[in-house]
Amino acid sequence: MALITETNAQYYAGQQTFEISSAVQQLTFSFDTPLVSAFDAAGNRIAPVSNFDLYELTTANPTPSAVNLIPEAQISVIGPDGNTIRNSSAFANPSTVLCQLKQYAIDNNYGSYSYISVEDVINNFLVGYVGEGKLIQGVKRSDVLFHARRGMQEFSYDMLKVIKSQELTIPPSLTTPLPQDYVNYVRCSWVDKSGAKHIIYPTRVTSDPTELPIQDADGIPTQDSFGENLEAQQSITEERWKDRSLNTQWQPNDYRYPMYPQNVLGQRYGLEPEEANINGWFTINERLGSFSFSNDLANKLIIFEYLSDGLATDEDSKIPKFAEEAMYMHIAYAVLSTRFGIPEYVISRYKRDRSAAMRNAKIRLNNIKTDEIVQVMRGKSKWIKS
Amino acid sequence: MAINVNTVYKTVLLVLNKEQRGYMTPDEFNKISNQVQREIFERYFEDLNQQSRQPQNDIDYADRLELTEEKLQEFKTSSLPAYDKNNDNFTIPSDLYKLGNVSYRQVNYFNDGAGSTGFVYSTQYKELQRVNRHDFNLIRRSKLVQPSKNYGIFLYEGDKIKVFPVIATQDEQTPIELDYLKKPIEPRWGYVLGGIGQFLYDATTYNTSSLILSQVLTLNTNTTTGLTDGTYTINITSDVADPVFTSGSSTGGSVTVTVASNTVTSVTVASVGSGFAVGDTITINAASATFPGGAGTGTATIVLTANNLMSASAQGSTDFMLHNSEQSEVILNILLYAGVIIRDPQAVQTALAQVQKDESNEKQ
Repeated sequence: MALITETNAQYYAGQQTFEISSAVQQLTFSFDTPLVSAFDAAGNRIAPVSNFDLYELTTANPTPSAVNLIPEAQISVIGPDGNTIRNSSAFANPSTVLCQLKQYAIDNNYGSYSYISVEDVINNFLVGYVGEGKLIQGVKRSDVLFHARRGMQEFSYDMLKVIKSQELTIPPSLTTPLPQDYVNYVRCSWVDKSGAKHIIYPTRVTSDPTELPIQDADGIPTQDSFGENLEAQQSITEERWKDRSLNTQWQPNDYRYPMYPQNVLGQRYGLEPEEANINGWFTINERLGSFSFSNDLANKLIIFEYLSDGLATDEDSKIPKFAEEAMYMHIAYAVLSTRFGIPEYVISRYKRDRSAAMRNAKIRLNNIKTDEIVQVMRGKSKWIKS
Repeated sequence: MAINVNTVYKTVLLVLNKEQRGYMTPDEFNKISNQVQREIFERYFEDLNQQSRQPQNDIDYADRLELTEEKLQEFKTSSLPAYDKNNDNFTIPSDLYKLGNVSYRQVNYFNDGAGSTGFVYSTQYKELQRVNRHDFNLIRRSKLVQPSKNYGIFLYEGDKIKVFPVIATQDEQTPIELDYLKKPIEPRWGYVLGGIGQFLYDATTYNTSSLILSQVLTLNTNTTTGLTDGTYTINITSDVADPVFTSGSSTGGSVTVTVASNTVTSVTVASVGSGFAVGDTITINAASATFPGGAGTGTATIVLTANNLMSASAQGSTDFMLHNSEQSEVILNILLYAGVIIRDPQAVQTALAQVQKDESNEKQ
């Protein structure tokens, strides 16, 4: 069976039609994208907006327009698969009902063929690797699920292209909260008027303390009536870093400048490359769960790229097909290596298979194209003029 | 394909009667048959276990695992169990012997607030994982594998199935499907007595809710008059306008009504039907416009008792549910028990030797 189930019209135009020849109120569509309605069957609003429009095309009004658009409040998605819709009254008979996905729903579906869901991976694994006459005679579904999800996490960290990014404006407070599904950052850049990115680097000149105990005159932390340390609301370090003047010498690069001995933290000669830019700096404030930026970035547009673990939402739970085999091998190895009585040579064979499959996946996902490499390598003979 | 019970009984009698060893009554045969069927059926599970640990071949009819599966196919079935809303669990079917796969499909209930309600089912069944209480407690604590719509689990305790995550509850819905093995139905060699008191095989399918063929039913009340004398065979229906109707939910069945001196004098079962229950009232409606020979007045009633149902008689037969290939095994095993009954050590030893030979051949 072919893996593509949508028609060209469904995929490219986000459209599907039904010829109505009897009095019906329900229709079942076959989009890959689950339909979402803004109202339920009783007419209560359940979502901000539907992800589709429904038109009733008749001889009098044969093209989709506001005239033959069925009001959103009349339509509800009633099936658990997200493809059965119900009209509060019967569709016009005869007519052609056109379901038109909204543009963002169409966009979200583009490129979906390059991914496979974790659920499909688990089902395929159970079919292909588990059963009578196979190396894994039986395994609990929850075990496979566990290893698949752990694999998803590990793959996300260093192999998959699950880099997410947010476009943000730095507020006057100079902090932005960590994204909900944040695991680690990849890159942070501010965007100039032409849309070009300028990388913002983390700085080691300052840091955000994780605890702010209030001390007494002897320097001993003080406690409240419950015996817990009293904590300050504000960090003085953070305040100073935030309030520093951009017009004085108190720039990160100045701290190591020999002309100001009171600021010298170490003996330094020449340029410190990590600080040799004017793009600003950021720190990660673990205490507040946020990113803090230097005050020269206030009100600037930034693009924040970060990694998640692929398990945050159902939409995330998919892997590129390039890594499908690696995932099977990962699960097989994980199942066999945690099982009692499997010979060590079998485990090591699967360990090697997993390693090879992961290496292949990494190479594939690096997206290295010969032509592009050639183009880059041409720069090696370029003269650098001073 | 089931094994015909009459074939087995005749063969057993043939072997036993050789050299006048003895005789086995139908009642003895039925009891032993049930025991033998159970023994053979139980053995399948051990066979499956043993064979699944050995490499099999792909040659047609020689794959032992496949052969055992084929023997079990007669018992395999599936059903949508009833949902107990109050306790949020599912009641297993009464004929369940061993539970197999349990799957679940999502269902959405809709109510438009204007009188239209309904259920919309997902087209996809998701397999539910069976867990014991220990695993259940562990799985619930792990965020990575905790039960979800796509990866549900179930507990099977106290003859009830409890599904996690808790699924939407509506009275009518039956969103889980059970695959299971049915209990083997007890074989039964049914008979009617012949003219000289001999047992004659009754090939009618045994049904506990059927009437007894040729039984004369006792009239509880009789006010019929004005009927034309004669003997009439009339179908039993559920329509009160018909000549013979029942208060129950039976289907089929007919009675022979004898009318003498313009009133009903006797009612005899002409065909056994099914779905009759103790307490059902069969009414002979003389006033029915379609009464054969012309309508009269009044009614005659019969209230069914346990003695009127087939379970109170020796009538009706049930074949062995076992696969046809087990016929010789069944006969040998019955002979083994028969040898004990008639106290013939030679019969026991012969049958036992043959059974052991077959078994060792099967498991080599």
